[in-house]
Amino acid sequence: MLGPPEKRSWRLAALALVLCGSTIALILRLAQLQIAQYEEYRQQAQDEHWSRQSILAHRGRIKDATGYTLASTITVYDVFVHPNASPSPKSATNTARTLAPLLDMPAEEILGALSKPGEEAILVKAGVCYDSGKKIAELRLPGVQCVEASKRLYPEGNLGAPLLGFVGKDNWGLTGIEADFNQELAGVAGTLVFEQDSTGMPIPLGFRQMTPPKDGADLVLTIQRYIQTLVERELDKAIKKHKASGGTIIVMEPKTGAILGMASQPTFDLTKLDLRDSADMELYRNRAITDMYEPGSIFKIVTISAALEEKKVNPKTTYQCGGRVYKYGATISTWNYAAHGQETITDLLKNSCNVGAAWVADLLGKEKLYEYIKRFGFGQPTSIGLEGESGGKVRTPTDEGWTPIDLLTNAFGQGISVTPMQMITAVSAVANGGLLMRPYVVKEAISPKERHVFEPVVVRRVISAETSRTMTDMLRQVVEEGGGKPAEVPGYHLAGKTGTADIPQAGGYTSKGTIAGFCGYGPVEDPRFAILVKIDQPKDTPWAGEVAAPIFKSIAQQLLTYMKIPPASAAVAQQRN
Amino acid sequence: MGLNRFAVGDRARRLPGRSGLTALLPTTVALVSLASLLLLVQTSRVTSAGYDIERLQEIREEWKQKNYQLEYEIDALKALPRIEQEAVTRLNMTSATQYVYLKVDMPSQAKSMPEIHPPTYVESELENKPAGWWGKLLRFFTLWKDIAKST
Repeated sequence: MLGPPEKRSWRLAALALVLCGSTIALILRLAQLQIAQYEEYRQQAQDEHWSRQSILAHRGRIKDATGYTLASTITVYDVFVHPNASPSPKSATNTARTLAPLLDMPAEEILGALSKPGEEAILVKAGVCYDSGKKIAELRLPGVQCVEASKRLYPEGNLGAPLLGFVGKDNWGLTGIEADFNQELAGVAGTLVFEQDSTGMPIPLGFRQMTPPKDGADLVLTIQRYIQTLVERELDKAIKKHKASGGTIIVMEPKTGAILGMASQPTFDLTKLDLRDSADMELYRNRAITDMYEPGSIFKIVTISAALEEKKVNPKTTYQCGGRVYKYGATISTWNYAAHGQETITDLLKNSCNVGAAWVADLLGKEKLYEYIKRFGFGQPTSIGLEGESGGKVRTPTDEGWTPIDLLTNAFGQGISVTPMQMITAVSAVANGGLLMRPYVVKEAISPKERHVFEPVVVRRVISAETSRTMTDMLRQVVEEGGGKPAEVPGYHLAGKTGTADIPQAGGYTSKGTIAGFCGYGPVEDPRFAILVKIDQPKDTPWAGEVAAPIFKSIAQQLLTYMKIPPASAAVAQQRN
Repeated sequence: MGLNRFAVGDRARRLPGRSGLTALLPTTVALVSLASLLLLVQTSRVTSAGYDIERLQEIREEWKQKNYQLEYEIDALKALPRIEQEAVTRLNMTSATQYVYLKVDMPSQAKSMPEIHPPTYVESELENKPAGWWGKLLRFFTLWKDIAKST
């Protein structure tokens, strides 16, 4: 049976070899599992044993300066169903019938989702209110899953849409203040780590550690909802009336730089947001800070302020306007080609004389004019604290392509690009006594533990208080006796300047309309507001005096009442209607 | 069984030191049992307290969420478009088209001050009021205060 010894030894050797081989293979496999793939399996075991859940932090509210909420967050549920997860068709029908009243949708629709072929979960309804979602979760229906989510709501509707911006599905700010102050608003998510059993339930007396979430801070804006509503309505009305392509209105507090209202069009509707439509991308930007335009004659405020400050002229300095002037190889003409004759600097502003502005710029010299343009904040962002702000375009003598004719055209706001925010900030400096303020829209950030107040910041003094007073008096005359007459509010003294600007295009200016603007402030005795109105391509009339100045008047009139500012003269005020 | 018990007892009587051991064993068992029971009770209490805390945390979270919901509802009720709609549709209000400012002379400082009413009693009346033992005590302390003040 055993066979010859040599044959036996061969068999034994083979057996030993197989055993050794198996043992080595086993050792190697064990080494692979225990050493080489140790980390992977340890991770798998940990994932099975430990549960780590993220606890959402509550996103802070955005409030207006008077304490009214503009954006707030509530918790909702997204209800999913897993097809074919119900044990029987009868069970699926019962589930659908139970869910239908809670989701306020037909049972057939839910049953359809439950019976669909496939494995992927189907979203039956998003944004189910907290109470209903909680009830559904507690019912523990087979194949039904409730996922907690956040919903951003806007109690004031579509107020300040481009300024506020919006959040994505993950509650992360995507545009506007929601994005720029996302860190403050979002807070920090908490975590819950615990040991779980095979069914996913926490093990009693097992390890459990919770790091509570830190709720986001509430932001208080400088915007006042009444003023914001007012400017949005006026802009909407003006765009419809003049069939304009768009526009911007900003209201600023000149002494602090606080933005009281800021509206621009075209824009989007916060309450009907559809992020899937890429065509809407154009509408999401805040045009008041991103879009540049040539300000036109409003810019004469800067030129004349600089000349007054440098004592090159005074309000009574005279010059001769012949309707046009040929200088540096180009002809400068008045806006209506009319010759104003001998006029003072005040008349220059009242008549919005381009020839006069060019004469003043030439008198001032290129170094000084561009120095003041820079001092007034043009050519650089205002640092308002919002992303996407443009700095405008100022071509100076040191830049390539600058010609002496630029000096003359820049003096009346041509060949220079500014943002509406830069323009109103510069005019506010003239209004407040000569200080360039940094504009700001966020007044406070209030978190459960701390309160951060954003104080007004003085950037620099650009003109003296005396020059400011002189300019204010000249601009008052523009409104009361000059081209800004349609902006006059009886009983009050307001200051301002119109500006009708051509729209540049490659190689010149477009013939498809103008930009009608007006920038002013009031009351001149103690300026409480500065308003910039900019209407793009009005179809009925191109002139700022006919388009923008009446809008300024309407807003100023309502602001004066809202701010409880008494008229300068009660006798005149009684005649108002 | 009875025989065995007798035998053990007999053996215990015969072997000194064994009786102490036999007494120690049940005592130890009893103590260990008691300690285990205490531990069990304590553990179950801790577990139950843990569940209670978890449940209370859930309830707190639920109220917190309901609070956010209510805050939003309040905000929506205070919203300007809603107030305007109420004013126009329910209260039939219209926007003001004419403003009339009236010049009102500022009242003088003296006239604007509220009239000072004299006290309805005089101090002497208080003094003449009949006083019991507490009145005497009060007067004693008042007197004491006056003395302290004068010194």
